Amino acid sequence: MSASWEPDELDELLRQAMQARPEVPRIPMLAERSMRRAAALSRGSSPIQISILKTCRRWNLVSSAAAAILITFVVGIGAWSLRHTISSFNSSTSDTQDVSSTSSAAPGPALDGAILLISATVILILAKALSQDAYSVCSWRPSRQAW
Amino acid sequence: VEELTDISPGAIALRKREPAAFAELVHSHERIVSGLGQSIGLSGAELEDAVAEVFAAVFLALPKFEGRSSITTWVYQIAGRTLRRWAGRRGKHRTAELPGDVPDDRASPPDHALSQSETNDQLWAAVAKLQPRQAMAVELYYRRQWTVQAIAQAFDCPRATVKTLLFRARNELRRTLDREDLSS
Repeated sequence: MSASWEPDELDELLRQAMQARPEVPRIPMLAERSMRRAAALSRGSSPIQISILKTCRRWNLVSSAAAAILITFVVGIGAWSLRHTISSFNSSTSDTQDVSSTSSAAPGPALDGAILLISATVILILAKALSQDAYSVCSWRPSRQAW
Repeated sequence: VEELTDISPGAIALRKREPAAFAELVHSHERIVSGLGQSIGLSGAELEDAVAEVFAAVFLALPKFEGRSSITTWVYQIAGRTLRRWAGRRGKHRTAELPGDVPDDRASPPDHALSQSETNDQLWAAVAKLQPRQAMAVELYYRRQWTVQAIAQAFDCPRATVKTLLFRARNELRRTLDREDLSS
C-alpha cells in the first residue's frame, strides 16, 4: 500500500470523480424492449437468434438485408465448393484415365437438387433467425451509437 | 434508497406484469441500473443491451416476487446478478486486451500534473477494471451515496462483505493511482 494516498484523500477524490460522472441518457422504449426480450427469452429459441444478431452487429453490418446477402453469398460459395469437391472426387476415382471423360463424371441432377435443398434450408433457418422477432428483441436500429 | 412498499397496488400490478406498472418500475430504476452498468465499463449499445437484459430478467421474475424485501431492493439484486454474469461473459472475450489496458508508469513524467477531468477519466477507467462487485459497490457508495446497509441489502450480503469490497476496491484503486502517478 502506498503512502502517497491517505484514505481520506482517496475517499474525497473518489467521491468527486464518481459524482462528476455524467448520467447515461435514458434508453428509448426500454420497458417495451425489455418485455420483448423477456418474451423471446421465455420462448427458449431466441438466445440463438440474439447471438446471431449480436454477431452481425459486432461486424457492423448495416442492415438485416446486408446480413442476409452476406449469408447467402457464404452459403453459395460453400455449396459451389462442395459440388466442385464431389465432382473432383468422382473424376479422380473414375476407372478411365481419359481426360475427356472428366466432364461425364460431373454429378447429376440429383446432387444438384440436394445441394440446392441444403442451401435453401440453411438460408431459411438463418432468415428466420434474422426475422422481425429477433430484430425487435435487440432493437437493432442503425441510428444507435454503436453504428 | 427510494422504496416502493411491497403491499402497494403498484406491486400487485407488477406481479400481474401489467405493462404500465412495469414501465413505471423501469423508469424509476433505469438510472441506477445504467450507472451500475457504467461502473463495470459498459457503454453505448452494449450498455443498452445489458440494461435491457436486466429488466427482462426482472420482468420474467415478477410473478415470483414475494415481497420479502422492497421491490427496489429486489430489482437491484437482480441487476447485480445479471450484470455480473454479463461482465463475466464479456471478460472472456476481452482477456487479450487487458495487457494493453495496464498503464505504463514510465510513460508519464513524474511532474506531470493532470487536470481534474483527466483524473476523473482515469478513475472511472480504473473502477471499470475492478471486479464487477467491487465496481458496483464503489458506484453505489461514492456516486449514489448509499449507505453500507443499503448496498448490503441490494447485494443480498452482510454489511461486512460490502465493507470488504470497498476496502479492496480502494486498495486496488490506490495502486492504480500510484502507478499512474496522479498524486504528483
